[in-house]
Amino acid sequence: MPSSTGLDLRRRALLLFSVTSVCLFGLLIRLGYIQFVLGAELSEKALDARMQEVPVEARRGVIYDRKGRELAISATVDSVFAIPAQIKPKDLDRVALALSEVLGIPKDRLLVNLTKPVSFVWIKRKVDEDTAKRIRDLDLPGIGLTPETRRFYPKGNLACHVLGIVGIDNQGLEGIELVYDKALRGNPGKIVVEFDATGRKIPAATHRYIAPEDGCNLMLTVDEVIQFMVERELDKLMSTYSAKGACAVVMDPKTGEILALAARPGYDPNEYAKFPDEYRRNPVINDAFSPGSTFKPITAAAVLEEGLVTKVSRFYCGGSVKVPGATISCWSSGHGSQTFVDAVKNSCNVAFVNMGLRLGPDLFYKYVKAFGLTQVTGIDLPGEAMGIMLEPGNIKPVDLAVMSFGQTLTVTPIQLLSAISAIANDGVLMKPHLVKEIRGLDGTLIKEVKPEAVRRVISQETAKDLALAMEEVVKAGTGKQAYVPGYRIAGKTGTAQKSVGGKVVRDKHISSFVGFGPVDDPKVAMLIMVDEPQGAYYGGQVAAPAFGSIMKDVLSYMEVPPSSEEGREGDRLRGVGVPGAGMLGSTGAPQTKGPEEKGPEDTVEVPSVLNLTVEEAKRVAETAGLGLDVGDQSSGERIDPKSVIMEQIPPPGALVSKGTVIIGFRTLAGSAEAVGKVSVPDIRGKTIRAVADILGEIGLRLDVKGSGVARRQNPSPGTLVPRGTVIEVIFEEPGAEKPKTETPARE
Amino acid sequence: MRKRPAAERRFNAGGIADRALGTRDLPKIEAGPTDYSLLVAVILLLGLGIVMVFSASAVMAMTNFNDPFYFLKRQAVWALIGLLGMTVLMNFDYWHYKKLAPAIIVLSITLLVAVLLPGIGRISHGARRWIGFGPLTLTPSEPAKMAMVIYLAYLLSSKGYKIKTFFRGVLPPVLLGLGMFALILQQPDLGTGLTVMGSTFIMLFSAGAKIWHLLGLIGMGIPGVFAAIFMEEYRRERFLAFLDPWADPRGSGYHIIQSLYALGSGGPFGLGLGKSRQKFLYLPEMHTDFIFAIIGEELGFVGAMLVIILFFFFAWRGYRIAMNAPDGFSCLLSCGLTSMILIQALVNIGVVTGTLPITGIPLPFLSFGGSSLVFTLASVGILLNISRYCTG
Ligand SMILES: [Zn+2]
Repeated sequence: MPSSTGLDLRRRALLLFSVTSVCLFGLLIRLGYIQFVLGAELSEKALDARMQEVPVEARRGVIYDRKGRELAISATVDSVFAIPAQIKPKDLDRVALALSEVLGIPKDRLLVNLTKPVSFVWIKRKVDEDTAKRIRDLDLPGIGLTPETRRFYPKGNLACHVLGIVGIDNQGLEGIELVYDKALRGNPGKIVVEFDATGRKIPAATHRYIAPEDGCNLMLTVDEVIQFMVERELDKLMSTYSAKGACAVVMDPKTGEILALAARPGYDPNEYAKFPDEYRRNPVINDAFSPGSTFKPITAAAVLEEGLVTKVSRFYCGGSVKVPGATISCWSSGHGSQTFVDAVKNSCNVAFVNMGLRLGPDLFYKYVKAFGLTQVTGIDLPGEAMGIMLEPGNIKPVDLAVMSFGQTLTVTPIQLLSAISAIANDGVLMKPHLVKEIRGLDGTLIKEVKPEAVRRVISQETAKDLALAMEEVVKAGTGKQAYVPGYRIAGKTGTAQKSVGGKVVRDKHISSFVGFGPVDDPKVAMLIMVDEPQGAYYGGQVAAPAFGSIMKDVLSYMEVPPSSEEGREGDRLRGVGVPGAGMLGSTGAPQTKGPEEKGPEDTVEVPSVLNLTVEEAKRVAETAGLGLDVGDQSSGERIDPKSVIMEQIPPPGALVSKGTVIIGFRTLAGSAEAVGKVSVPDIRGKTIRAVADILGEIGLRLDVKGSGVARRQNPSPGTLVPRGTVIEVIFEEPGAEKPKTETPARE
Repeated sequence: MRKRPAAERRFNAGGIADRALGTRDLPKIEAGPTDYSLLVAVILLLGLGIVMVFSASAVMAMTNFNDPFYFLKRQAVWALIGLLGMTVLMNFDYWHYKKLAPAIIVLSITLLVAVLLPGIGRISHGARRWIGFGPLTLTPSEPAKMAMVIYLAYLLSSKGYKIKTFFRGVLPPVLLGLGMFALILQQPDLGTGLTVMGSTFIMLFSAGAKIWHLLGLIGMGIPGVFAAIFMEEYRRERFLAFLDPWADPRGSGYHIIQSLYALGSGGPFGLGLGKSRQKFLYLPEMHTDFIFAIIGEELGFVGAMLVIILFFFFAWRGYRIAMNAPDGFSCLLSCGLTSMILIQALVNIGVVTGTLPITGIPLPFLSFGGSSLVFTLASVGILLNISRYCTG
């Protein structure tokens, strides 16, 4: 037994105190570690855990044509979302019922979303202004609206295959929208609100608004007007020949800039879901066709460049030619003795078989490759396909013979046009592209796409000689119908039988025409393909007139001066007819019109129809012996006769042949000189949708700030501004000042 | 302070049994001044507790009871009752407990049994912990802790108690403690049960039990504790969550993580009184077991350190009373009561800082809870009474 238990007891109490003190000190250290060392990290995590995010979409960049006309814009619309945690069980039924009535979504489906164990769920995206207002008025607990941007394509299906489409989250799905998605999309922002564990907003909580970074604007190389001309012609081809499809590409051969790219059938990107998916396929890029005779210039270029033939070398065509393993017939019963130029003009298969055999497989492939036909062009559209060609290693003479005139190989239209453009561009192959510039919101140039030469394919001399030969095709050969009065046009027809599963199908053809002009200084290269035309199928019959028609409009629109006298002399000497009625916007089927002599009495000066109503403009045009198309003729769209012409093609004062149809553009916010000034309307108190409509109608652009109804605008109402001016409108939520309060339920 | 010669001290050789106080009419010591510094520390903790209970619970009270003052009012009433009880016990001389000790422990055990009986015990949150008397509810495990300390002080200081032996000295209090532990575990209330066991061991230690006896028992008890942890699903989860709270941040790790969030958000000086973000229902039991986290969030390290310092001060004054206690009984009693309160404080702060697994022990003086507050203050009353007879 210890002698002094009392002391022992005191010692033990002291020991307990010491242990307690050490423990308390340890806890203090631990606390300091948590609050000082881990503090920042923990507090960040705590904040994150309490934050709920409502996404704010960045405004997707505008896509302009090369002259700054809007092809794709973004407008602000509201989307309905729910924060399920904020909806009390007793309110659930009421909320679901009310939403169901306004949105037309079955209540059961709503209930599933409203009870999801997530902090945020979309109920309906991108509702119209009226629905948004009704939802706002209902003021349902846990239901909110957030502005989102919706893509609008103001020109409908114009250039749909170029522009592509976007999905519900404004993500680019096809076309330029997909390829330049990153630039267009910007960075989404968010509204971060601090919520308690049951989803109520914490009073005086952190409300962070992280502003979205809006996307960049794109300027395309495409010219809206040229695009329009091309599409109108394609529509005509489709209806005239009941074709399965058609496509056309217009390119500046010197820069590779695509001026127009169109395909039929088309679709309206605003409502793409209403069209079959295959309509969105872009045959220009995604499909390879048998080029047929349009390939012949490639073979011709190779033999000329290699010095195997000269312009004056002679070829004999007796209607067919024997090659080891087969006899190949010409499309004609026999062209007899012909020069190289004549052979091109006649599109003589026998002559081209000869050329191909002279080249041999190695040189043939060398040029096919040099013209870029064995690889993708690298155009800025998604899903570019590549043609199919026999392996160079084991081709037989018969294969080479057939390939020489464009059979048993396939190329995409863009590959073919690029190759032909190389001939127009003095032998230099350019990379085709669709985007000219990427600009930031403030207009700063972010990226400029410069013309990119791929390689020199043939010498300038060869190119010139070939161009002259191709000019003969249009002057006097198979492509006569592509003739454009006053201009020297080079071209080549093509008629290929379609093959299905490796077997040639008899009555299914692809008619095509490829060419460029003016020959002395090529500004435009173009390819047109018509898939399975009915009734007629020769390229010279089907595609050439459309080519000529577009080419005439385009050259006139681009104000390309008519070609030198030499060209006109040539016309006169040959007495080549002018497919006058096949020109600008004629309504009849092109191939039925006979050639007619062009005389001074047929030439009229284009009157101005600017700022006239459609009714008045039609009268003026008729008086001058011209037609007027304001889009109703080609598309069948119904036009308000009171709407005003903003732009016209050709411009006033231009000399055109009688019967020419003037294209009137109603509301395009085009070049400043073509449009007058307008008075800024008073849009205050109106919804975003209404404001967009009002401003769009008179050619003003809208810069939306905020959401709700318009409160302020700049410039102020009544100010005279040029069309195309951006009107800044500040929108505010109606009754935004009224805070939402919730009274917790009493137990 | 009165200084007395060491010889006057009433400790005697041959055991801690207090001969002088063994008889009815003793002691004849004059009552000295109360230890008011201890009282001040307790009042400071109490005041801080009431403020923080209000701050922590206002949102939840508004949500659940449509009255932000719901918990404040109740805590204030309990504090008043507690202070009243404390005052009464402060003036109720400690030696009377010697006579009352057996009755107290019997009554306490009766209540612990009663609360388990259907019809008497009230169930809340899946636990049967409360006995209701009209609007008042009593948690029998709270007085049980106190009763255990009083009884053990009485038992261990009784004449001829052979504390140095195992079977006759150490084992009987341990068995009694285990019995109470088992009863409290039925509610279930592991935290209070552990407090009872902890107090029991500390009193055995204070009374002079052999260290290796205690260590041996603890060694034997550890597998039992783990068995208790792993046999019950929620305890196992809590324990595993303590080891790695981030493994299941929305499940078993939730409390610890939210508590750490609160402390971490507080930083050095806190977000300011009433500015807690975590109290917005993220931190469950923010006004009871996790009040310290809200203190750390709103008042920062400075505020939390103040609480720790106050408990340190409490420990100093409490054990000082024990060391200077006039006799063995009062020494053991004050030591036991001080330890009982400090065990809870240490474990609670340990849990809130993620240092210990969640046990469900309130923070004395600060956490919301009527029974806990009243009996803690009652314990302080006894301590203060003993302080009057201290020799130091
Ligand atoms: Zn021939």
